[in-house]
Amino acid sequence: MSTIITTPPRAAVPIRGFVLAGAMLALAGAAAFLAGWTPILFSIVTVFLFAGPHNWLEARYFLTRLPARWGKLRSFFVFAFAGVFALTGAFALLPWLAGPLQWGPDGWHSAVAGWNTLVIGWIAALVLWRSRQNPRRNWGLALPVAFLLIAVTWMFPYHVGLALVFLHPLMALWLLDRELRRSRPAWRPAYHVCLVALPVLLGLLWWKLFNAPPLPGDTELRDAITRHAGADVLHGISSHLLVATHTFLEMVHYGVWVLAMPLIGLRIAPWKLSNVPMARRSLAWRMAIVALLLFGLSIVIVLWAFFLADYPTTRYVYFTVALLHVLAEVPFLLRAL
Amino acid sequence: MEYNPWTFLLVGYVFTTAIELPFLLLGLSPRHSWRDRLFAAIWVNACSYPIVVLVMPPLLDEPHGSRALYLTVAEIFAPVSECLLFWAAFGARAELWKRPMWRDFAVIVLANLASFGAGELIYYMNWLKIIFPNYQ
Amino acid sequence: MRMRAFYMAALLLPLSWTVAYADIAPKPRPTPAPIPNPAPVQSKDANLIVQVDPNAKEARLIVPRSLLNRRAGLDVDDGTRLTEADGRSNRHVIIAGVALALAMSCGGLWLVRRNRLNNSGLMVCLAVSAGLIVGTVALANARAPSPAPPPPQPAPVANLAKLFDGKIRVETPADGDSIRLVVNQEMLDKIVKGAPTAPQPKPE
Repeated sequence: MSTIITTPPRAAVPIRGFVLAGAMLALAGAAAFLAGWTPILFSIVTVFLFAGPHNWLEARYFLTRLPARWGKLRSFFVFAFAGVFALTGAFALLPWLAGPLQWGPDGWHSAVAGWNTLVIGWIAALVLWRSRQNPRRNWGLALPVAFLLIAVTWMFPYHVGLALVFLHPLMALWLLDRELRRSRPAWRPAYHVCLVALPVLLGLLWWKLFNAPPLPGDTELRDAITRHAGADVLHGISSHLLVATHTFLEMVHYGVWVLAMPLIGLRIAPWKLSNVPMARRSLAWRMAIVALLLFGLSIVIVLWAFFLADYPTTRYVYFTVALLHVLAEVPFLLRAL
Repeated sequence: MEYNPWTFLLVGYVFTTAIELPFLLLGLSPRHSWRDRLFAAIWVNACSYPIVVLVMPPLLDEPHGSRALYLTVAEIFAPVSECLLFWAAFGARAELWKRPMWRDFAVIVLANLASFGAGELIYYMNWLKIIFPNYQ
Repeated sequence: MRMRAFYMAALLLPLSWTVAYADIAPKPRPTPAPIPNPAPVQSKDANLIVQVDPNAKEARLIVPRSLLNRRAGLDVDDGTRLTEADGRSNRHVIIAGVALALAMSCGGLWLVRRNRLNNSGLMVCLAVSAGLIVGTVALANARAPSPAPPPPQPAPVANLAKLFDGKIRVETPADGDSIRLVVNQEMLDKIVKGAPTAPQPKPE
């Protein structure tokens, strides 16, 4: 899966890399400005526009990375996908169990920490499993790090989850870096310059908003967005700053999956299946993948329709179900390393 | 638990390591390098101490329950687990059941007894109240 | 190259976990957020039975345990306890402690067994220990936390007639669902005698 490609000298970097870098910088700058200026509206619009499409493009990208025949990787992928579905199901069940089981703060603390523990254990197992596959890696440190994370999550389950919400764009950026290394190594220096801009933009946001008045939580939707950004966990920090930071990072995440990955990782129109290994197995497989992609496309359209009909409820349901594709990133990232 | 167990963990760990470090540095068998001895003193305590301070008190209901039971269990668990960990990390098959192995184990037990004694002295002199005003 | 792999592995787990949180809600949380120190005043509806026992030597108040939300005055929230009140019980501390011990054990064994315990590895261990010591000193010298404000007390109700003033034995049996007050005849007479007479309606 991984290919050793030497990076050519900087002088040989093609101009297109800088064009992409310039576009990404402009997008990031605009996202930071809009997220700081009108965070709630920006959050509503970006989720409406990109939630569905970015999921579809992500699934389409993963299809290009999935081998035609799993062979020795079969157990790894079966365990990975079983974990994806089981953990998503457990996550969706939490609010349903809270009522009948009469969870107070203690019950919620245990439930969230327990779910976190399952996720950490699942990822640690995948990491150790992957380290024993070719190309072999020395990732034995994963086990103590996993135990350390479990210790922290049992003390601060909400803070840990929130920290990771804010860190998650690093994962999309990391996947993009792996894809650049694989398919466009000459673009990486320009991309790394873009990465430096991220903390600069975040610093500017925090400098401008650290003492901004809190956002009004006068509607259910506003309240949900500020809680999503951690306003109910990080007391004493402006909710304006939290929502702006979260929305900005989320837009970076969307930008990677909607713009950068299709340009770099797919390289052909997403509806053409010539770069999907499984589609080359047989006509039946090809038809199944076409059906899967069409089903995904219909979900995107239905999601837009539901967003227009009842945005708050659709947003809540989306953020619960979205965990499915999100967890699926783990095995693909591990295979890319 | 009338004190913050995490603060107690930090303070107690530093104190215990400070007591046990000289024993392990000077007492462990000569086949261990100074680097290994220093690491062992820091590491084995870091492994056993969370169990002794965070896990055992709520299970044995200390300080409201039996302090004697807690001390007995903790002071058996700590040296035994530290000996096992030390052997898992630095043990050599050639030294199994031989004098250097027993010497290493004896030093670890002695170091634990020393830190136990110092801890009891602090407890009976009521010096813990300086750091933990709510400690009973 | 080996050191690079070492650092990559160290980064891998926590960062790969972040994938799981991509653009999802942080976690379902109780609404509203847990209150660190809820007011201790709690109430529950129950039956009250007053029984006269001619052989009783003292008054007995029998409160079934199922009606006790907490261990009454024995369990004071003075802000120094780690209780269920802030969503963090002993069980969480126990699990965190076990996980921490396992992390330390596995990490140390990995360092030694993989021959990572070179001078730089030891320096990292010493730096972590030094950090702990600095943290400890900082904590030890920190200002003692100010005592938690006293819990709000129910407003005193004025002009209540005192019917009975004396010692009472409080019992908390495991079974039952009614509160029972057991008194003897003498005590009952005292209570009845002390009860204010109901105001008579004035004639028109």
